[in-house]
Amino acid sequence: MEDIVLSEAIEKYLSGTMSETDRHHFELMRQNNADLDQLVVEHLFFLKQMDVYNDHTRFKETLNHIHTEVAAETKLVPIKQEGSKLVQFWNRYRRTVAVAATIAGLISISAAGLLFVYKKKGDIEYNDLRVKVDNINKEVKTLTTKEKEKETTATRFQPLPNASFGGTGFVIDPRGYLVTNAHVATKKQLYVFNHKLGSLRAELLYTDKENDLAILKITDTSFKELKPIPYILSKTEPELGQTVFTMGYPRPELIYYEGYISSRSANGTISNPNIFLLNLPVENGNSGSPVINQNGVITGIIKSKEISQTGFATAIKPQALNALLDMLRNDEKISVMPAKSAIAGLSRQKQVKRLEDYIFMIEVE
Amino acid sequence: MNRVLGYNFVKIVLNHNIKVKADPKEQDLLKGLGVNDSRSIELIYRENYPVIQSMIINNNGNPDEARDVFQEAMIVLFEKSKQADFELQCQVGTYLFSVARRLWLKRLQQAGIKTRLSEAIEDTYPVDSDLENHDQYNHRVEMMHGALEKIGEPCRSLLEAYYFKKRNMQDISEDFGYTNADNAKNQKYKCLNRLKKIFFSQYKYR
Repeated sequence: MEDIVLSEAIEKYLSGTMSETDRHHFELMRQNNADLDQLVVEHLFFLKQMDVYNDHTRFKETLNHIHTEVAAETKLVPIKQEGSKLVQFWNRYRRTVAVAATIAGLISISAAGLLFVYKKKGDIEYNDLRVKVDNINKEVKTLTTKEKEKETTATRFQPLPNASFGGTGFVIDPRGYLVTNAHVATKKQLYVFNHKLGSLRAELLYTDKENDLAILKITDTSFKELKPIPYILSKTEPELGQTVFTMGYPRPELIYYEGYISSRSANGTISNPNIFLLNLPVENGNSGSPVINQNGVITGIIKSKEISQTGFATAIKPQALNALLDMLRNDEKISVMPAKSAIAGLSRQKQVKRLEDYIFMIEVE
Repeated sequence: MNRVLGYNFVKIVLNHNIKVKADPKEQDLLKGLGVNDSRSIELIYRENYPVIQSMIINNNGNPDEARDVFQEAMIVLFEKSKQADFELQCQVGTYLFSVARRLWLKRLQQAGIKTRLSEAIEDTYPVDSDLENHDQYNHRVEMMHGALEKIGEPCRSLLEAYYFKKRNMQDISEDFGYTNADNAKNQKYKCLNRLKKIFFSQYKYR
């Protein structure tokens, strides 16, 4: 068969315009001739690539056309100022230690501004965002002075609106008190799960949004008090380079991870002095997992993972949890954490075995 | 570009429940998107562009960059909507936002700007595998583009007329001034072979 005839035959075959008998004949040839079969496959692939390219080009044309229209009708540009204001603000204060807390406020407010824009959809009024950012300067000033006052009031702890995520939590009182992240426990009524006890009903007691912590209590009638907690909460700052491990429920099974403390703070990322950085390959669903060292001391609570650099995670210092627990002890009968770790110096396998019962999956829905 | 040195804040919060699937109305829009229906595309564009633009401008970008990133995110969605088993597991807005955010971060990094984007783990919809597919797709589209540029005229127009505009050989031979359809066919065959050769040489090289 001449090449051009063959090529034409292949195209007819692929486009389905070949007559029934020719088609049958062609298929027999394909079966008996590997070279021909290869040619057909290759040609089909190539035609598909041409289609993809054509679709892509036409789609881009449509996008550009629409963009010109959308950009002409709505005034899309004028929010640059806010961005640079933020940056100016940051540059001015970046060296000041005291700014950390105010920056946290600033970010949450500006994020709220963005949220506002996002929720609204359709015709956006950037002015709203600008007003918000303008207000920030005023709010930042008052924030610093109110800082102390705020610490002592319980206004920081508020139940969050509904959402449906999942995460991990661990026991801080054997009578069924757990801690997890505030961004995990977003509902009043939820379920916690672990291998030994199965799924149990639980209730959200408090959230500390600032430090992203939440305290839950298992309310299920089938729950019986656990044995004393084998670990303790660290009272010192994270030690750079210390190897740590964590366990959590990224899916309905307990997973073990190992890493080290890579920074005492995470101020480049989040300006909260209670956050530090780990090199730990956590996954979605690890939020709220305890970070534990060889001595059976909890040195942090996993908060988030770094998206731009793989393998990094942020964690909340136990001091923040300690402070929260101290405050809650006024209202709730949360017992004091043990003073000595029962798993210090044990082999890792034994430590893990002892810890298993105290780590739960948090199910919001 | 006028960027701030040192760490930049890239802090973005999304207020969509990421587990909510695209509703029937959105599914219709996505179907339209997949067949290049300009009305559907325009609705999606109008609804989602402003948010993504503000995200990029607030994070060291300019409107041109915002347009590029948004359109690339639209292309990722377009590719996805063409998959046979396609079903979007989150809302269109969530998806576009998640993709655009990742694309923008990548650009900042490529420009040598230190960024540290840290967020609650569950905040955005996971798009890693879609972005990997997209890289592959982009590469092939670029290869095809490069090959078409290389074959020159009249080959390019001839192939575009037949394969892209789906015109018949008789019309093409008249337009291109061939004496008959067989001559045009012959020419088309040669051109296609050249195009294939260029395309596959890059393809195999990769």
